[in-house]
Amino acid sequence: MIQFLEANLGTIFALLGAALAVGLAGAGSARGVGVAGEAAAGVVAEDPGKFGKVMVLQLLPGTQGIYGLIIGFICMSQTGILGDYVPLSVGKGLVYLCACLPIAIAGYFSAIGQGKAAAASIGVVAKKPDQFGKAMIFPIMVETYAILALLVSILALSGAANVAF
Amino acid sequence: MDKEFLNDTLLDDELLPDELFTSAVAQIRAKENTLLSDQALNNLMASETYEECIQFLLDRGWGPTEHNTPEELLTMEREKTWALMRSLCNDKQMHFFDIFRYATDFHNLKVAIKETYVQKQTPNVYKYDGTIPVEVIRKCAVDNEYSPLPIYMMKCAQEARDVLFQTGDSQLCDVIIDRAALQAIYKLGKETGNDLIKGYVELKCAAADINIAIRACKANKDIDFLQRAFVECDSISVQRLIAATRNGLDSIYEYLESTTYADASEAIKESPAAFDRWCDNRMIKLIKPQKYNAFTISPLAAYVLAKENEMKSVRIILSGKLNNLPEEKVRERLRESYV
Repeated sequence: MIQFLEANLGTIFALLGAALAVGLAGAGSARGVGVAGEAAAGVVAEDPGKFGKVMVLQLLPGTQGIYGLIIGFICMSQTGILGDYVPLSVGKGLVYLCACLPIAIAGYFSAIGQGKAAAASIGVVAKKPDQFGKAMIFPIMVETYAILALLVSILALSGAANVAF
Repeated sequence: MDKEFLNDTLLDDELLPDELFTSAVAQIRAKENTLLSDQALNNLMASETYEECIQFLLDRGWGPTEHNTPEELLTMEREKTWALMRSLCNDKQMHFFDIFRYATDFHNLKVAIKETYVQKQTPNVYKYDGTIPVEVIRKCAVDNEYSPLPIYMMKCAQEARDVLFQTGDSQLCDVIIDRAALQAIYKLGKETGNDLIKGYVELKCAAADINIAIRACKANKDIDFLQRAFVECDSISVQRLIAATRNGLDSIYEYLESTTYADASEAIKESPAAFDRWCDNRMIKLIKPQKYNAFTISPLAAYVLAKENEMKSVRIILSGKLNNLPEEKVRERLRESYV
């Protein structure tokens, strides 16, 4: 067991990074979409005609889960977990783990925040459907931070391959 | 007897976490579109006849038929509001709304005690949207045994009954029960920890105290009566209000100037109806921020209060049309709308 860990610890760290990226960002999205979905269902219960508009708002917090998936996929393919397996050094594994953290953390919290903003915007659409465009801006603002985290994770993963350990 | 009637405090700290009610609030947002705005109330006012008013309300989703009396229509609207709340909240969460239903329980208690005293039943005086079944209250009054009632009702029920049977003073009986009702509402309101409800009970008790002070001053009531009638609350000093009441109306106005209700004086000087309108408008001002709150139970509570306020305005307009009152008389009684 100790021998296995010594040989594969770097890869385990990289895999942990991929798991956090997919898991945390996905969990945040699930919560965000859930909150927005509750609000959407409440509006549709009163006015089924607003289904299209509220569904778009409900979907917005789902993007963080996709970003997490992209990062997880890139991480696993770069570290050889998906292809020809070559054990990583511990240092390199830690680099991959760190590269995955921005989208894991920012993805989780931004998705929940975006879900709440989307729920509030759904309330706007419920009262004033003609303000749909403006209502959509508020949750989209939250997306900025998920995109920034995604960008940093992608850049970090691109650079990780060149880090010598 | 249902256990919950015996609980003095029905709310616990974990009942209403902030994350809940997302769906319910969204549904309420959509439902708020059906509330009558100031413009809609003006249109209702502009209706030529009572029948046109009823048609206007039916078009806005009120009552199932045009053959209802105004009171029946309003009762239906109230029932619809509570049915909506029951569909949005579970049984435990519904206890939050007891604050709005206590007044009905105490009203029914008054009726039951007086019915027992005069030994005659009057039709259509009980209200059925309280927290305690009418039959339970009625039986307590008939048996003169109030232990099945909640603790906050038991003592005042016995005291009011004894006063009525010993002195025949129905006004004092009302005062005792009204005070206990306000005390119970105030206590429960403060226990909810909800800012909206805390503000609501504060305003309700303060408005009741001011109302009592004005009437008692005009009727030259003695200090015993005042001490029995006033309800303690944070924004009104009962001792100072008693002293002001004994010194006359100007002293009451002077005292109010030192409170957050300084602007009530103008309304009180105008008429009792103007003061009632001031109270309701102040309450609407209190709940209006809930229009922008996407979470918690507060927007639901605000909707209940807004609906009650709307029903008051509709009742005023319908009464005006039925009794051919001048438009300006009706308009000066209309409340501000929540939407």
